[in-house]
Amino acid sequence: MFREKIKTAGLTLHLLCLMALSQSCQRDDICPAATPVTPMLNIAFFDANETDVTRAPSNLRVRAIEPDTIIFNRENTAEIRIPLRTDMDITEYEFTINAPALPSPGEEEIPGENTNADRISFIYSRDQIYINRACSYKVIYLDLQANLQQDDNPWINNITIEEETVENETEIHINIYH
Amino acid sequence: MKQRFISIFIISFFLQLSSALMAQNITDTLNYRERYGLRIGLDLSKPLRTLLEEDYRGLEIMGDYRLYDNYYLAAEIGNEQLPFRGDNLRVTANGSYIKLGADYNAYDNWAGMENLIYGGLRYGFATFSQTLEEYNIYTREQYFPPNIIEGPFETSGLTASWLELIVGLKVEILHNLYLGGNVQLKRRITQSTPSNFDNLVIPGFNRTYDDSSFGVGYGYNISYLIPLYRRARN
Repeated sequence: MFREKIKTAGLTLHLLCLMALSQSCQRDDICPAATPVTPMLNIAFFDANETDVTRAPSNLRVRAIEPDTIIFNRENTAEIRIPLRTDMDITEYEFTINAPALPSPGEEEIPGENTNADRISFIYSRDQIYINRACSYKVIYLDLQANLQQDDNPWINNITIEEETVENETEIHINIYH
Repeated sequence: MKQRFISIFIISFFLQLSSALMAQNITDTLNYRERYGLRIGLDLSKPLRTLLEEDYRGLEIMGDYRLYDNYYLAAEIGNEQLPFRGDNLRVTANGSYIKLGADYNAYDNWAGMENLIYGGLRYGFATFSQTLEEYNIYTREQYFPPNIIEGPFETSGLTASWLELIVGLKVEILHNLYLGGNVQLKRRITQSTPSNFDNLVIPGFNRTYDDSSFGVGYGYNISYLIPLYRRARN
């Protein structure tokens, strides 16, 4: 009598545990690589004269002003992806074409022949959105603006905002014509 | 000849009668009258965790009342402060809960013993606050230094309810004093969540899971039976 009771009780408990485990066998303490998190800004480069022809800038260096961080140096692609600051409503970048190689530590940088640096300030407002317990919060950027700083010899001709809201990395947000 | 036969008959009749009566007496004394009453106890695992774990505080009082043979009404009431430490955020939940239900004793006690191996169901309800202590904004590549935002950001007046399956045992170690242990399988039914956030821990439910409404728990308790009356076992 007692044995029967224990048998049915044990069986039920096993079934319920299996049900519970089968509901979620995924670890939820690692942020999965596929989860969309804070998006980076997508920029596409076009020719200033033929505005629908992509034109990669030669040896492009992208440097964030504050904190002084070089995102990449001497890239030759027509589409780039750069981060925006999540703690301020403005991120200032310096875009340099024909950038020289980075100097070894302690040495001065020697500018190349056609090195030209232009500064762009990206201004936006931020919205924090909860993802899950592993990934915590992400920031999406709203009302994006790009201001080109005036200097004597800019290599950038024009900047257009394609997407005002930066919420994923599948779209191009900014077009730069040079 | 006939007299002897009659006397033998009478004697044997009385012997049979007395043996029948004696047998009945033996059955009566073996029918032990079991204690029915209110059992009140304290969970020991929660004060222990309060001492050992840094950010945990908890207290639970439990009780049960024997209704009938193997059926008990049971309830637990408690208060907990539970932390959740993730890689990218820290959360604390603070609140009280109550669990009401019934237990069924599956153990066939020998006469004179009243131990339990039981299974039971509970309906749990909690009211609590969820406090986001600090979090950081998650970026895939760390070009800039991490953006850590300090709270605390508290959302109070949250509620949650769940159903619980509990399996455990209670053993009488001294007269009327019981020591018990149990494991719990919970399924959340309802909850109110903070805006732009979630309930990562719920008092009485322990931690929640992102894509599941199930949870688990355990208890270790000591209780005292206040006997009210006795009844013969069926």
